[in-house]
Amino acid sequence: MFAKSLSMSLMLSELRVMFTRRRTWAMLAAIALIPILLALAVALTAEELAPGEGPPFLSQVTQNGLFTGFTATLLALPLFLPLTIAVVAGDTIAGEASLGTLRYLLIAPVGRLRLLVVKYIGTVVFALAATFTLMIAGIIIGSILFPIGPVTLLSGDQISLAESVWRMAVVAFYTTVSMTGILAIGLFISTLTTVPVGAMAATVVLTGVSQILDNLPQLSWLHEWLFTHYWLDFADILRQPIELGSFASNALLQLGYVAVFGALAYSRFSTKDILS
Amino acid sequence: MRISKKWIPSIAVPAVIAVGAVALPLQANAVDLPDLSANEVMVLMQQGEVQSFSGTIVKVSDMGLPALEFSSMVSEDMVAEMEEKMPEEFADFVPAVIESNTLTQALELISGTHKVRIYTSGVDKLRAQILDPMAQRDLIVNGDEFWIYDSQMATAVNGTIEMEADPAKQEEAEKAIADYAASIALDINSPEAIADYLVSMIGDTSNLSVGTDHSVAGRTAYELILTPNVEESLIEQAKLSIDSETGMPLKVEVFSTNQVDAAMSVGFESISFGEVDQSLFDFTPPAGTEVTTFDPSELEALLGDYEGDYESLEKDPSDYPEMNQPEILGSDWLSVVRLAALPSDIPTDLMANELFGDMFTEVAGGRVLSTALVNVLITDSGEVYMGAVTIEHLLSVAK
Repeated sequence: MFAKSLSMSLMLSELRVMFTRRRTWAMLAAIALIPILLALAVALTAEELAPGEGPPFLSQVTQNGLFTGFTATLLALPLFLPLTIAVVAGDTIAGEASLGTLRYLLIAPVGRLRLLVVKYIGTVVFALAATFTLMIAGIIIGSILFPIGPVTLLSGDQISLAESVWRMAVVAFYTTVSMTGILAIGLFISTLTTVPVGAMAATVVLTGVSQILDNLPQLSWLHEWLFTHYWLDFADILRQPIELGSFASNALLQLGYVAVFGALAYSRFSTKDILS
Repeated sequence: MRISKKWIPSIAVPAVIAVGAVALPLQANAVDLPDLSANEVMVLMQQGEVQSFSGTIVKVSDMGLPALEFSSMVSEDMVAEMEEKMPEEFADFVPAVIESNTLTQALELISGTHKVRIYTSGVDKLRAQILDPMAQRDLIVNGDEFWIYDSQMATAVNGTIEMEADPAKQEEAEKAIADYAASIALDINSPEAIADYLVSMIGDTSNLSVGTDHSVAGRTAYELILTPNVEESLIEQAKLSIDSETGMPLKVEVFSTNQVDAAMSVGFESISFGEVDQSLFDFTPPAGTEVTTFDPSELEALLGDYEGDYESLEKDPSDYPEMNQPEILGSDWLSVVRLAALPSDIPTDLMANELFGDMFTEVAGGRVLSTALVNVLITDSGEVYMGAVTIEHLLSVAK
């Protein structure tokens, strides 16, 4: 009972610290800027995109503002979203270590495993906030600048506004799940160093490497094991009937990454001498 | 130094995952069905007539061609030049830098993985969806009406099939739609269609045997192995997975004599039998779609334009442009298709293009495009020979 309430208060204090940091809000604001800039750019240029031109969904934005959220998610996925995710994940342990606060955290009767779990859940909450910010900012700016209406799915079927909002939530959730693997990798790297910037950079680099490997046809046997492999398959949510196969594969793959790098982070962190 | 036992999870977790990754596929072979002879499996396959089901088909082709990266290998200048020189009808064949088009799609089909969802209900309702990344192509047949929809280009084709009392004519009409779909690279061949084709090739020149019972898409299946016993064939063997309950072909794998991995594999990843949501067969093109109406007389013209069939293994030779009068030489596994000349509308520029030039090798008497399952010979005099046979055999036929 005591342990439970301790975990709870630790979790709450972790979230409070994260969401009172100016850096967190700056990153969420930057994420919200992606759909806003995108919608403004589309609205201010007179040039109409022909279907099939430009990134997927972009030509649909002018006809239906709701597509701003999807397009923004698509554009943010390769670099910008993982960048903010890496900042948060890389900071978890290394950040405390560099500030000299890790020692004090561990003096309190908090197990190292529990601290890791709390830190990890905190980063997942940030990922959830980031993906939903992207989608919600897209919906808001899209509905201000463009008409909104029933959404046309990839299969050509149209769905009602209510169902569209539901599918957008599923897409945002899919993207959050996509981020859990890289968050675990970032957490592990963060236990290796006391320099948070190093952990952040290493995490971003790994994301890039994974995406490059995923594009080399010679390595096709490796592709389904790469944590970035299913990222763009959120498009499967936009088919009729909804295709959940990729959601399941993605979730299983990410779970594998969380298990492996979670275990590595635990082994490393619990055997580490905390000097700062 | 003693290593802390806290490192145990770091070793145990990856080990469990590795064991799982190895053991799960093995489970697929742990199936034991009542023994049947090859002929009994054939009978089972032929009597099967499933009408309502939904499923996902995965196609993997590995034809041994170098992977083509159109986006990086074709420069803007080249595209501009091609656009200028090509006849207007061929605008689609100009490789756009990112855009996929008929040509890239046709080439994609011979090296790549594709996912197709299929829904059928009764004899006259079908919906096939090719799941492209960030896009989708659909074929919807509902009674005597059909739709073809392309989400990326936002185009749709609408037409009607004459409901004929005569089943032969009905079949012809259905084939016309399938041909038309193929002409716009909407390949909807199911394992069944390919299995039927392969079985039609059996003749006297193959050995038939039954392999190990296994499971495909959660169903138990017999394995029928077709082995051509002619040396000149490029096909090592074909493995058909036949559903033990319904006799439906669930998976077809074709192996080439040139490589270890299957050159082509088409099979259900998941399947369920029974009624399908009827609303799937109603289609209204969304606003902003460019809709064209299908005119049956266009079909011939279209097929005339169709620039040769990369997947000739799967297709009936009568698909080839009539104007070019293809000739079938030999029979069964040794069938060779001869064209008097390259279809006139293949731009010669394209053949001279480095990208395509590299795919051909020079042989005495012509040039050869060699893939795992099909060899194409263009002789110096301009004749075209193609078939699932060795280059030597093609050359001897050409003489």
